Amino acid sequence: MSKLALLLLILVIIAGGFGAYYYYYYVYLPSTIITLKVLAWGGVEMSETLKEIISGFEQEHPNIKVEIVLVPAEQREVMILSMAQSGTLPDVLHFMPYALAEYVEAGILDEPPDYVIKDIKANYPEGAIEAVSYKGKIWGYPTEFDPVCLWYNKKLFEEAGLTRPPETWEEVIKYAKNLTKYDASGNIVQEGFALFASENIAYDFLIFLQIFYSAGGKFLSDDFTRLLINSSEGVYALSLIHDMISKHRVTDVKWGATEAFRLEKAAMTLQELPWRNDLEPAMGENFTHLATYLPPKVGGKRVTIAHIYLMGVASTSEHKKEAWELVHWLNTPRREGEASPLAQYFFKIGIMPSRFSDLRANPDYINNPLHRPFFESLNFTKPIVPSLRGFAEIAGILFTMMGNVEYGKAPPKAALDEAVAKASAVLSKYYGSVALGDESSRAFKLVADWEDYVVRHGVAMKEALKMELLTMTSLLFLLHRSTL
Amino acid sequence: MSQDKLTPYILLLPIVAHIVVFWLYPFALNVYISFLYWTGLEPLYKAKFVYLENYRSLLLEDERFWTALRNMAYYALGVPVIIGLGLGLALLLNQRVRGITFFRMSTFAPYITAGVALALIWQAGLYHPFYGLFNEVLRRLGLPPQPWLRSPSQALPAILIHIVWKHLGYIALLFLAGLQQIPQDYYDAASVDGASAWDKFRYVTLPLLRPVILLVLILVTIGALQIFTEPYVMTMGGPADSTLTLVLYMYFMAFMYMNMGKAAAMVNILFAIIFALTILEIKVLRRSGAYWG
Repeated sequence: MSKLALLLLILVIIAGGFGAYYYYYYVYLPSTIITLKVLAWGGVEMSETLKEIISGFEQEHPNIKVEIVLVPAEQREVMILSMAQSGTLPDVLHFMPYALAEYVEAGILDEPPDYVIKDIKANYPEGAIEAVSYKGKIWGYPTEFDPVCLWYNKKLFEEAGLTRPPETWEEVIKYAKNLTKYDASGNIVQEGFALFASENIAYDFLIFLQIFYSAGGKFLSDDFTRLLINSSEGVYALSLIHDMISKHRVTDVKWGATEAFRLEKAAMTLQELPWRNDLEPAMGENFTHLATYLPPKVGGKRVTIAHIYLMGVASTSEHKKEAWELVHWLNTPRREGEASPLAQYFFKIGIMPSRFSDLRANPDYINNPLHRPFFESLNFTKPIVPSLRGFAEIAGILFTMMGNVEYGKAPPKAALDEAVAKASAVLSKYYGSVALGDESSRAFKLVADWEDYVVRHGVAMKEALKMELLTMTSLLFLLHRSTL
Repeated sequence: MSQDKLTPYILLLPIVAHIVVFWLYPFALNVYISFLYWTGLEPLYKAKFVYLENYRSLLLEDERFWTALRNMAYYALGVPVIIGLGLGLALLLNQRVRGITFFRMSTFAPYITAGVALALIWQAGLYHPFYGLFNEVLRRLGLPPQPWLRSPSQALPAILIHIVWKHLGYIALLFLAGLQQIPQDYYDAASVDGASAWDKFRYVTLPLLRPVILLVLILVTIGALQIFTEPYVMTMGGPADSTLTLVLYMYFMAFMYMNMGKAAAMVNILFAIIFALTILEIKVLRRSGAYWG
C-alpha cells in the first residue's frame, strides 16, 4: 500500500472516532426532553385515542414526551419477547400477565414504588390484585378487566318459550336441548350452546375453567409441582363440554360461536364483555336481541374467571421514576368522582376497568343491562390461573387437551390425565426438588457484557459503525487501486 | 505473502464475513441453544445447560412433535401432485398461440401474490362454511356443504389444495423453461419414425426433462417440509393439531411457549431431515446421469 493511502486511512479512522464521540457527548446526551415509550395494541384509531388521553400528561409534564409503540394484539407477548432480547423494550409495558412469572424471573419488570403499591391495595378488587402479583409482590396496575359471563339471544329464548336465563349448568343443558334445531338430515342449524373451537380454542378452555372453579376445583397443588385439573371437578367440567357435543348434540364444533351469534344461529355461550365489539358492527339492530347474565352455578356456587391486564415499567427503562409517574397518572383519577384517564379510554372502546373508583365514576356504563352482570361478577372473579413459571407452555398443552376432547380424539378423563402428566413435567423444571437453578455460564458473560455495552451506547456505536463501514470501503478501494 | 496473493483473499472477505455472520454464527448459536433451557427473556449466559434433555423430551415425550412430523409427511404427498400438474400445465403453455403470454402470466400470478393475503382470501372467501364460494357451488349442485378448514379430516387436504394452486404456476414455469430447451429436431425425427404424441412425450420429452424434474423435486420437497404461512393464517395448526407443521410448532415453542432450547432442537432435527433428503436426491440425480455437476 502506498504511504499516501495509509495516511488517508489513518486520518479517516481518527475522524470517524472523533465524530462519534462528539455526537454522543455534545448532541445526544445534552437533550433534556425525556421520551417515554408506551406499549399499546389495537388499531390506529385506538392508538390515536390513547395518544389524545396521554397528551394531558404531557401538558402537566412539559419535559416529557410520550410515544406509543403500537403492536398487533395477538403479537403482543411475542413482541415483548423480541424487544427484551434486542434491548428495545418500551418504558411502559401493558400486557396479559400469564407470562408474569417469566418476566419477573428474567428481571425485565421494575418493582413498583411504594406509593403505587399503596394505591393498588386500596383501590382494586382482590382478584385483580392476585392477577398482577407474583411471589407475594405486586408488579403493576391491574387495568382491563374481562370476566366471562353468559351471553344469550333473547329472541331465540322467547321463540322457545324461555322467560329467564339459566342459573345453573344443569339448566344450561336443559335450555340448550330446547333451543337446538336440526335439519332433515340431522345436522344442527341452530346451536343451543355455542363453542369457540374453530375460532380460538382458548375461549373454550375459559368455559372449562369457569365450570371447574364453580364446581370447587383447585388448579394447582400447594407446592406448584402438579396441576389438579384431573380431579372429579375437572372430569365433571370437561365431560359437560364433551357431552354437549357428542351426547346432547346441542353444539357443533365446526361452527365458530362468533359467526353463529352474528347470524343468530346460536342461543347461548360464555364470553367477555369486549366480545360486543366483534358482534355489534356485524349484527346492527339485531344486536339488541342479545343479553348477558351472570355465569351459571355448579351446585349453588358461582365463580368466574377474568383476563386482567397489567401495566408496569420495564427494568431497562432509563427513566423509571418518570415512567411510574405516567403509569400512576393513567390509572388514578385526576379529580374526585372522575374516572382515571386510562378508564376513560377503556370506556370509549367498550372495555371495563378494574379500579373501584373508575366503575363508580361511570354509573351509566355499569348500569347498562348488557354490562351489569360483568360488574356484579367482580365479587366472585378469580384470575384464570395463578402466576406460575412455564404457564405459556402449559397453556399449549391444555389447549391441545381441549381440542382432542372436542374433536372426539380422546375421552375427558384420559385427556385430563395426559395433560396433567405433561404439564407436571414442565412444572418440574421450576418447582420441586429437581428444579432448575440460577446457574451461569461464564463463557457467555463476556458476550453479554458486550451486548449490554452496545445497547447502552447504541447511538454512538451506530455512528462509529457507519464511519467504520466507510473506512473499510475506502480501504478496499485503495488496496485495489494500489494493486493495479 | 505477496500483495498479488493477498488481494483475492481480501476481496473475498466481505462475502466470507456475510456467510460467517448470517449463516455460520447463527447455526452454531442455534446448536448451542438446543442444549439449554432458555426462555429468551433473560441474557443467554443465564440459561441452564440441560445437555440432551430438549432432544429427549421432543423425541420421546412430545406427541405434538410427532403429530407435526406426520403432518409434514402428509404435506409431502402434494409433491408428486404438484409435479404432475405442473408438467401438464407446462405442456399446455408450451404452445405458440395468440395470447399465450397472458395465460403464462395468469398461471404465475398466484405465486407472486402475497401468501398471507391469498391464504386469508381462501380461508374467508372460499372455504368459509357459510359464505364460502366452494360450499355455495356444492349447495347449487345439491351436495351437502363441507366444513373444510373446520374439520380435522378435511383441513389439511384443504390447505394442500391451496398450496398446490399457489405454487403450480411457478413449477409450470420451471418445466416450461426445460421444455423450451428440447430441440425441435428430436420431435421431427420422432414424427418421421411414426411416433404418436404419447410416444414423443414418453421417449423424447420425459428423458430430456429429467434434470428439471429432479431439480423441481428437490425444491418442492424442501418447500413442503417448511410450510408455515398457510397453516398459521388459515388454521393456526388446528383443528386439534391436524394441520400443525414442524415449522409452525417451532414458532409456537419459541415465541408463545418461550422455550427457545426446544425450538432450537426442532430446527436442528428439521435441518437433519432436509439435509438427508437432499443428499438422497442428489445421489439419485447422479445415478440417473441427470446431475449437471
